[in-house]
Amino acid sequence: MIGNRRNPAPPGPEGAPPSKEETRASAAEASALARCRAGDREAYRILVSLHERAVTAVVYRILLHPQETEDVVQETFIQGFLKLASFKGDSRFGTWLHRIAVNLALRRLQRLRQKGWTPLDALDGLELPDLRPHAPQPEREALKAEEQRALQAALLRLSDAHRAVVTLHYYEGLSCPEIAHLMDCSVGTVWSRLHYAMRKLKDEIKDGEPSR
Amino acid sequence: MSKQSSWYCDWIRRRGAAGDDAVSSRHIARCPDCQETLAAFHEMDSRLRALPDPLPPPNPPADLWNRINAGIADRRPTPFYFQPAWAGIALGATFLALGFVFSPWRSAPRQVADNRIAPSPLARVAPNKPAPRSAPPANPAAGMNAPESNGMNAPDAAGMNYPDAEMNAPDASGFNAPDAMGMNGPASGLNGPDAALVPDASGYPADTFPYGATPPHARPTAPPKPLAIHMQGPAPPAARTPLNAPLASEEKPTALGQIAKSAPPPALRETPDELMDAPAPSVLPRSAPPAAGVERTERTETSSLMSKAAPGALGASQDKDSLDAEASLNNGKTMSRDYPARSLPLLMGRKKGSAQAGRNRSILSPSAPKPETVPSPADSPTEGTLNRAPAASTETLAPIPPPAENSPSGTGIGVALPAAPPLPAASPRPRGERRPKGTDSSLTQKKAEAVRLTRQGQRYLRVGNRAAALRAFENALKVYPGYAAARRALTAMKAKKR
Repeated sequence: MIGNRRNPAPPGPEGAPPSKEETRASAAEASALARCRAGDREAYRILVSLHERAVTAVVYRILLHPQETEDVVQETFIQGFLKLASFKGDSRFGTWLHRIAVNLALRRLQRLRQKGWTPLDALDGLELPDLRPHAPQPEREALKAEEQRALQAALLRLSDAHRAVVTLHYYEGLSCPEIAHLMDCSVGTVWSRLHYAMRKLKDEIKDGEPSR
Repeated sequence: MSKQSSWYCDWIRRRGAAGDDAVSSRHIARCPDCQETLAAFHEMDSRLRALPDPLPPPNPPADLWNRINAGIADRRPTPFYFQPAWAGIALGATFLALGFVFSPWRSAPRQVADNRIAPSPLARVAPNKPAPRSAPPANPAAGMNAPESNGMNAPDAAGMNYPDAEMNAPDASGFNAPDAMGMNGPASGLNGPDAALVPDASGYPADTFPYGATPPHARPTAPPKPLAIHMQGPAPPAARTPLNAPLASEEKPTALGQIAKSAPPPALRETPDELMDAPAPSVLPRSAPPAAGVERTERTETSSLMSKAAPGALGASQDKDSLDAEASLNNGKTMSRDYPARSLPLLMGRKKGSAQAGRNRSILSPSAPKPETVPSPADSPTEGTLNRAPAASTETLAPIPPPAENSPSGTGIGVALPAAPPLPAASPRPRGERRPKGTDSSLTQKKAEAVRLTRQGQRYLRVGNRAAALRAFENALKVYPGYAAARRALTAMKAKKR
């Protein structure tokens, strides 16, 4: 699967040539940006409506906390408006907003961890879809579901930076250069983190059911 | 392999031979470890891609724009000077400025600032050093203290003539008018130089102020000694010091002399014991020798004060002897005449208090070497009322020898004192040479302390703290009983209280 499975990938420094829709969105975004720079606050509403879904998804992938996600999304757009003067147009506005969102989400996650909250708590009460009644091979499907749960738990046990890289790459469909741009690190760092995360996940899966 | 799934391929290529895909592929084809690792990567990658989204991201809140709009309205951009960094910088700069303004090296010397009574240097007299027989004449160019033709005294470094109007209002003669206690009046006949004015080999008093000396309260207290001589009643005219006696008879009558004649201060009726125990043969050529075994009273210090106040009156004297005596007596003053030359910029560029602080600073230079204390009969008993030094253990009450014929002081008070030893020649300080640091009399220190305390009391008065002001004035008078300003303020306060 290429790209985000639910949300379109945010435009980054690299990518395929934009489609007509993207071109239209880009034009609307550019005009809204120009009005925003002139002090039109209503124009910022257009920008918010263009990016709110993608920003919410990215923040939620990192935080896994609905209430905190709302707060961070709100804070992301407020900061985007207040610091619009620092946006020089080197990248797209969506990329710039994602960068703010990722930084705020990671900072909020660190604060949540200090309070004792971990992303594993997001799995509490979560039930994976029971595929057994509809599957032709219920035992195999059950085993697969269990493995997925174990993988999900192992993923949540990763550190914030590694989990953010894996999540952004596999759930949001961002490329390594895009992730590097969002997280303000080099592409090599993204590769290294992905490699470390994969090895860690493999070890945990091989060891069996990871203990929580 | 798609772009997203080939991150490890990109990684492997990057780690390989500079992006040579063929080289990487050949190595992976031959290396089983790398094949295993790559297979594990493939498996994990496919697992992750097949992983269902257990926690789908929620939809953005419906009122997101309203919340964003309210948040933007609430948060105005903070002015730069309210930002923490700028506030810290401004605060630090303010503290630096305040620290510079109120720094101790600008306000007052440490000893005075500590509100401690300056230890008297009278116990640190080196009487064995050769004393000048005649001191160099006053050096008007070295300072501002040369008695002017109109008799007005410029402030000297000895602290005697502060630019404070209430402290040293010059009278018609240009000298400090004797106050109610008669402390400053040279006509009191108590002007016998004491050990504080014994100059050292350089021609200046050896009573270098001991900057780091033990404060008086920390000194061991000596048991009181009985007075060997005690005089009552007004002193006869012959009770003048040997120094003043010829001056009074030979020099032209000055206003000070008139004052002395018209209003003899009550100090005349006090014990002029310093006439007997004045250990200043090195200063005054015709003074009495130090009386061994004779106890001195606390008036000795007052006499040293008066002997310092006297030089101004001697400025018009033409007599050689009196000039010598004046020069000798002016030793402290002469040495201090350099001082205003150095402190003149301070006086001109700063306020009065700052000038005084600068004066004290140079006086109390901590780098000044401490003089070696030499226990002698002439040093320790000359302590003042507050700076009582421990009594010299070597001093004993010896029988008073018969009066010497050439001892004018002995004739003055009817007490026989041994004859003065011959005095070595003075070693005058050349013109323009500055007084060594740390050499000053305790009187200056005491007066400076009194000035400080008086001003402190005046500040207390201004803020309405009468009790503290009263204490400050009383302390000032304790430190320096002759300070008229403190006495006036104290009297005024008491009168107002009544």
